[in-house]
Amino acid sequence: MDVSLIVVVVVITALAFDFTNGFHDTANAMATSIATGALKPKEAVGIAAVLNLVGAFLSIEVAKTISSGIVDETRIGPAVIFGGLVGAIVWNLLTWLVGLPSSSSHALFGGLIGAVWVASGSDAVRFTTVLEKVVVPAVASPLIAGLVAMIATFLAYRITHRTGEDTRRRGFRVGQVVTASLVALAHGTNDAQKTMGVITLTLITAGSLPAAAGPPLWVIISAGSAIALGTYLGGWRIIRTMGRGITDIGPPQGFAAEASAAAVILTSSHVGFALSTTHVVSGGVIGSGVGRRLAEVRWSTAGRMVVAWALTLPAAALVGAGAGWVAGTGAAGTVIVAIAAAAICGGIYWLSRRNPISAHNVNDAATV
Amino acid sequence: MHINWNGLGEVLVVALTAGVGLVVLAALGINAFDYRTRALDRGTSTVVATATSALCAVACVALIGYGIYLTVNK
Repeated sequence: MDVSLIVVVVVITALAFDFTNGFHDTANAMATSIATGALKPKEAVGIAAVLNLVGAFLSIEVAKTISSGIVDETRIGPAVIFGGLVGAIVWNLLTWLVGLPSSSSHALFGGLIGAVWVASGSDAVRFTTVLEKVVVPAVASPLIAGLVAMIATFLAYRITHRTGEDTRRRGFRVGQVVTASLVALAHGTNDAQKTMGVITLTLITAGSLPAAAGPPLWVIISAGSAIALGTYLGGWRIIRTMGRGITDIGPPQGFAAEASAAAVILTSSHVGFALSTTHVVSGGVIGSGVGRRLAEVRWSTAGRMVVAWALTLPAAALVGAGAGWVAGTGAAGTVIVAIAAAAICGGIYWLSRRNPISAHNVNDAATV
Repeated sequence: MHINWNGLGEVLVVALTAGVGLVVLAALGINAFDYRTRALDRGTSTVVATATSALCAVACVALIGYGIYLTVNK
């Protein structure tokens, strides 16, 4: 039957998701450096893109599960993966349109949960694992990063309060660029391999690859390139919110925020938490605002962001459920979902053109 | 439901130490560098300031290097 069609569609959709993952998350590494002028906008996204690409090749351990155990993997077929990816892409684009940083991993998890649910029933979703592996780290990690950034920011200003303004700015800007690059590299090793895992497992299910095979070279190259290209195009709307919207960032704050985020990301991946770079960096930026002078943070923007985080799982699940259900009906259904998804993405892009944000005007305002 | 409190605690302690440590080291180094510049202008001794800023720089590079090592050797 149409196994090959759905496999081809899944591979293309996975790369499209990888691309949205890239431009959605450029802000995590580079928004603070762009906001403080440590890097010019185009330089910043260029560095992030290269490091994401390098990270994709560096990563030794490619994701062996699509869902990290949050759904019953034996019930995942290509239609479910396709539905999950569509849900994740649509949610990523919607949050990009309104300039809200939200987690691409949560979007993917949400899409998969929805698609599995309609395909195999609610017992295929392991809700306890969702709580333990997704929800708890999602709540804890931004709080930890925020606390670390708050203390670090406070001490950075305290220690250098008599230092010449020029030396201080230049010194912290260097530190900022280095820590931001570390975040970008860590992102590449984490997120590009997620897409590689999705494509590889799809090929294995379809019988194109032997069980337990690693990703073929073309998968590594295309996944790395998709995330790097997305990163380079830069999600300027999200960069504006992250860099200017939450708080007014000075170089010491930007440095403290990225240093804290890098520390939390690296420690967590060591302990084995699958957490969201977006949540951690947002927490770090908020903490750096609190640590400088209390109440400098725009809590309304931070609040909208947190609402978007909470909605990510259920919203992507809804879209994923619908898409997975229609795609599961056969080749015609798959084509219908693909066309509908492309139309929705085109529509969101068209809406974004009414208020375009680019490298040239990203720092001009604090809101999207 | 099992919440990995030990893991969360570990992340908190290590991230707090490494993150705050890196920023404090950098701040001390920048401070010392600034002091060195002013001492040069005044014509007074710069030995301590130079050594402090160099030491801080080396410590920061080591911490970042360890971070890169962790990223690459996951």
